[in-house]
Amino acid sequence: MFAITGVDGFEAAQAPLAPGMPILVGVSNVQSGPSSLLGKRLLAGSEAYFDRVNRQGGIYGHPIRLIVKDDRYEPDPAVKNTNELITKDHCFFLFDYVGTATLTRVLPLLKFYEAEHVINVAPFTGSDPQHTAPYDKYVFSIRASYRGEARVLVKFLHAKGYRRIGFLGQADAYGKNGEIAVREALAAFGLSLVESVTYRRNQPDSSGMRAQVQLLRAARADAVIVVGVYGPCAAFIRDARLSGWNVPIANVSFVGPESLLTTLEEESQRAGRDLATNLYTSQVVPSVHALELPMVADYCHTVPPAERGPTSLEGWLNAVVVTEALRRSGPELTRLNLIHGLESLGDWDPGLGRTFGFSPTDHQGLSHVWLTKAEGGHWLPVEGSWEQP
Amino acid sequence: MKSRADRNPALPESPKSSHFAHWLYTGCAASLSRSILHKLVALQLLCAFSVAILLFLMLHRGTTSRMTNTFDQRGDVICRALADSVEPFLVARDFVSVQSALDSAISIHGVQWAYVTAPDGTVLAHTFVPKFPDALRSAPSSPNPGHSNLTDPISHRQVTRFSEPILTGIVGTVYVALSLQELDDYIHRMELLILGSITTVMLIGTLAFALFAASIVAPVRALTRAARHVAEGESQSLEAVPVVSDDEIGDLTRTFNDMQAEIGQRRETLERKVRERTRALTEANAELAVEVSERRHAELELKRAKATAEAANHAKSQFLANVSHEIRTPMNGILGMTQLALATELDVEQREYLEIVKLSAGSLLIIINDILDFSKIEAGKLELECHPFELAVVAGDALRTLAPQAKAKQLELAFYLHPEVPSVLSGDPARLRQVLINLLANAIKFTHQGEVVLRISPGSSGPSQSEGTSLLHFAISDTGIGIPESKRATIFEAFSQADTSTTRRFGGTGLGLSISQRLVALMEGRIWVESQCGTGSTFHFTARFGYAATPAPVRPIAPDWLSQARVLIVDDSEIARYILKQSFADWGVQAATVPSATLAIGQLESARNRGTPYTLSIIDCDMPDTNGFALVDLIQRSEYLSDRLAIIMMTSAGGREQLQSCRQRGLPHYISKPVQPGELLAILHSPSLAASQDREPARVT
Repeated sequence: MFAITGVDGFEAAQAPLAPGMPILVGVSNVQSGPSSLLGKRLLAGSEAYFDRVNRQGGIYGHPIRLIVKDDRYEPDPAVKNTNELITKDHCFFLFDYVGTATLTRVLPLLKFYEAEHVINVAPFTGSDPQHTAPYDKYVFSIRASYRGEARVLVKFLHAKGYRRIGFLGQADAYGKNGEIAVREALAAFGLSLVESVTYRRNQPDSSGMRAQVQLLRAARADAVIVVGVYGPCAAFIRDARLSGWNVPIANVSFVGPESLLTTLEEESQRAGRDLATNLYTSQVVPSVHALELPMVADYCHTVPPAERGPTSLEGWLNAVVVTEALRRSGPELTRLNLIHGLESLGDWDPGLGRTFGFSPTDHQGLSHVWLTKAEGGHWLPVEGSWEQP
Repeated sequence: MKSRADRNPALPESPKSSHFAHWLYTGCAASLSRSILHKLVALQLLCAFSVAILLFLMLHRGTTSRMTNTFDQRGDVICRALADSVEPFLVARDFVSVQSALDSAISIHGVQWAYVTAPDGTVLAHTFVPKFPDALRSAPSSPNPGHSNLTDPISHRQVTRFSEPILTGIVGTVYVALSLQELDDYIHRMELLILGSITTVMLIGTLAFALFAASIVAPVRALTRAARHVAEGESQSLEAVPVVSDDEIGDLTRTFNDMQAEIGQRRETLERKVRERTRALTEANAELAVEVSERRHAELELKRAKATAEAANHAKSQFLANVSHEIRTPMNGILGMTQLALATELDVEQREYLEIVKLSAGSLLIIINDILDFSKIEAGKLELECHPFELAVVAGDALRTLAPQAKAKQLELAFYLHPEVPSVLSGDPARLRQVLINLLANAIKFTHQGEVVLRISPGSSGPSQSEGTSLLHFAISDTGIGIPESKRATIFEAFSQADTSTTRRFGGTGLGLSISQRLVALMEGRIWVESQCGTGSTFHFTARFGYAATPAPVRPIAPDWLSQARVLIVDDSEIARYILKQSFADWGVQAATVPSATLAIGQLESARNRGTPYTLSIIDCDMPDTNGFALVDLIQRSEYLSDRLAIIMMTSAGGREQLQSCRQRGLPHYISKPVQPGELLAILHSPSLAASQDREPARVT
C-alpha cells in the first residue's frame, strides 16, 4: 500500500466525506477555443451518466457534483485550475482532463500534493508520461495508449501496402508523443517516417495547412498519420483533398472523431464536394453502433442520437468506471479508499466485453483499439483484426 | 495712459502668462537678432539642447549596453533553466515531457523557439511549425554553453540562439532562440523615455528661463521704446516709464526718467533758440536776396556798358586805321620826293639833310605804321615776312635813324655786335627794325644824360644749329629816369606809359612797347625790362631767326696790317671806348683807350718814348675841355707825335661843322657815331689807310 505521511494539515483531506455531502469532482479541460468540442463532448458523456447516478440517490447518499474549469487546452491555465481545484475547491479527485500538453504539466502538481492523495482519473490522452514513474501512481488511465493506437494504424497501413508514411503532429507534447509512437510502430516493420511536420496547437480553424500538405507531398508520402485535434486536422484534410491529394489519412482517437466529421461536413458544403474520403481513425471505445455491448446499449438508451459519438461515449465510460470505483471504496469515502476502489477494478468489465487491467501496480484500464473509417458521416468499424500483434 | 490696444503686442508690459503666450508667438516670428530676450532664450535652448544630446547619447549608450547584457543574461538563464528542467526527462528518455518543457519555454515572452538535440545532432524535440528547419539541423552543436546571432529561418528575423549542453552534452543540448526584436523594442522604448524626459525638462527649463528673461527684458524694451521716442523727438510722449521692480532695472528706469525730464527741458530751450535764430536768418536772407538782385542788375548794366565800350573800341580802331592810311599817302609823297632829291647832284651837306628828311619821314611813317600795326595786331591779322637780311645793316639803320635825336640830347649812342652772332639771318627785318627803333627811341626819350647802348648777342641757349634757327638776345640800356617797380608790369600794355605825366613830358603814342611785345612774341621771343629808378633801364628781348637759305656773304675780316697796328681810342664816353675796344679785340687787336685829349697826348708821347708808337688813333670829335679837333691840332703840331700815326675821327650824326673841320685839317677818314663795326672795317680797308700803315714814319696828309 501507499505510505501515508502524517502531516497534520492533510488530516482533513483524509477524513471520510460527511454524510450527504456532494462528491466534488474537479474538471479542468478545454471548454473554449478551436478544440473546445473535445472537452464539451467528453464532459457531456460523463454528466449524462452522473446525472442518472444522482437521480438514483447518488453514491451512499452523496451526490456527484462536477466543478468544471476551462483551461483552453493550454498548459499554464491547466496548472492553475488544478491548483485551485485541489486547494480551494477541495475536490475529491480530478477527472476528465483533456490533452497531453495540459496533463503533462499537471502531473508534477499531483506529485507536489502527493500527501493529499489527489488522483487524476480518466484523462482524455494516451500519452506516455502518465504511465511513467513517478507520475503513474497519481493517474488512472482508462483509454488505450497512443502507442497502441499507432501500432494499429501502422499495421493497417502496412497491410494495405503503404510504405511511405508521412506524419503530421501537433507541435507539443501530444504531437511529440504521437510521433514517437508512430516511429516505434514503424520501426517494428523496419520503416521510418518519410517526413514529419507540425502545426501550432489551438491555431485558428481558418488557418491553412497547405504548407504541411506541400512538405508531405514533396516527401512523396503515400499515407499520412495525423496526431492532432479535429479543427486543424479538418483543415489539413481539406487542403490535401482540394490540392488533389487523396492519400489515406489516419487519425488517432484524440482528434475528436465526431467533431472531425462535423467540421469536414461544413467544409465539404463550402467546397462543394465530399472531403471526408479515405479517412481512418483509431478509437479507444467501441462504435456507438455496437449496441450488442451492454454499456453502449445503456449509453444509447440515455443519450439522444444527435449527441452520440466516440468522445461522448468515452465520457460516459469514464463516469461508469469512477462510479464503480466509488461504490467499491465503501460508504466511508476517502481519497485513499477511492484509490483502493480503482485498484480493485482489475478483471472488471464495464460492459464492453473487455476487462480492466487496474491494480495497485497497473493504472492502465483498457488497451483495446478499434479502427474505424469515415463512411457517410459515420465512423464505421474496419473489418479485420488490427489489434497489436 | 494709452489704451492697451494701442501698445505694441510684441512688447509685454509685465510678464503675465497670457501676455507671455502672445509674446512668445510674435517673438518667435520676429528676427532673433532684434531682442536680447530672443538671444538669451536661444542661447539657453542651445545649451539645453547640447546637454540634452550629450545626456541622451550617454544614457543611450549606457542603456543599450546594459540592456544587451541583460538580454544575454536572460537568454542564458532561460536556456539553463530549460536545460535543468528537461535533464531528468532526457535521462529517462521521456521525450514527451521534454517536448512539454519546450512548449512551456516558448510561452516565455521573447522566446521564439527551442529545441533539444541528441549528442549525434538528432533533433529530439522542437517547437517549429511546420517542421524543423534544415538550416538549423546542419548547425554544429557545441559542448559549451554560448550564444550566437542568426536569422530565424521561420520568421526571417534576427534572433540570438542560446545553447546549453545537458550533462556536458552527453545526453543532449538545449537550444533556445530569443528574438532581438524584443531587445530592440526595449531599447527603443528606453530611447523614447529618455527623449521624453529630456524634452520635458528642457521645455520646463526654457519656459522658466524665458519667463525670467522676459521679466528683465520687458522693462528694458519699455525703456528702449521710450528712448526711441526721445530720440525721435516725440515730445508729446515724454511720459515717465513705469517702474516695475526695485532691482537694477528699476534703478535704470528711474535714472532714465530723470534724464528724460532733463532732456525735455533742454530741448525746449534749444527749440526756442532755434526759432529765434531761424527768424533772424530769414530776415538776413531777405536782405541778401534784395542785394543779389541789385548786383545782378548792376552786372547787366556793366555788361551793357562793356558791349558799348567794345563797340566804341572797335570803332576807334577802325578810325585809327583809316586815319593812318590817310596819313601814309602824304608821307609817301614826302619820302618819294626826298628820294628824288637825293638822286640829284648835291653837296655833302645837302645830301645829309635830305637823308635825315628821308629817315625822319620814314620814322614818322613808322609811327603811323605802328598804329596801323596795332590795329592789325588787335585784329590778329599781322603776319611776319621771311627773307634773308643782314643784322648789322638793320641795326645800323635803326641807330642811324635815332642818332640825331641822341646827339641833340648830348647822349652817347653805342652799338655792340657780338662776333658769334651770324651776320645774315632769315626773318622779317622791317619788324625787327621797328622793335629796335621803338626801344632805342624810348631809351633816348627818357634819358637826359649819359648813353644808350644796343647790344646784340647770341641767346642764352646759343644758336641752335640743329633746328636751323638762332635765338638772339637784344639789350637796350640807358642811363635814364628808370621805371618804378609798380609800373613795370603794365608798360607793355597798349596806350600805357609809366605815368600819364610821362606822356605829357615825353610824347609818343604809347603803342611802341605794346607793339614791340607782340612782334617779339611773333618772333618766338619775349620782352622784359630791368630797371632801377634814377639809374636807368635795360630793355631785353629775344627773337628767333632762321639762317639764311642763301649762302651767307663772306664775313668781312680785318685787313692784314691791323694785326701789326697799335691802336689808341680817345673818347670821353666810357661805353663808347669799351665797345670800340671790344670790336678791335674781336678783330684780334688790343686797343688802348683814354678818356680825354690830355691823357691821349700823354699816352702817345710815352708810347713813342718806349719805342712802340701808336699807328692808329680813333678820336671822338665831341669831348669836353679839349675836343677831338683840338687834340688833332696838338698832334699835328708835333711831328714827333704825328709821325706814322693814322687818325680816324668819330663825328656826331648830322655834325656838318665837324665834317667841315675834318676837311680843313686834311683828315680823310671819319666815321659817324654810333660806330658800326662794319663801317669801321670798311674804312680800315680803304687803300689810303692801308698805305699809311705800310710806309716808313711819315706825316699823314
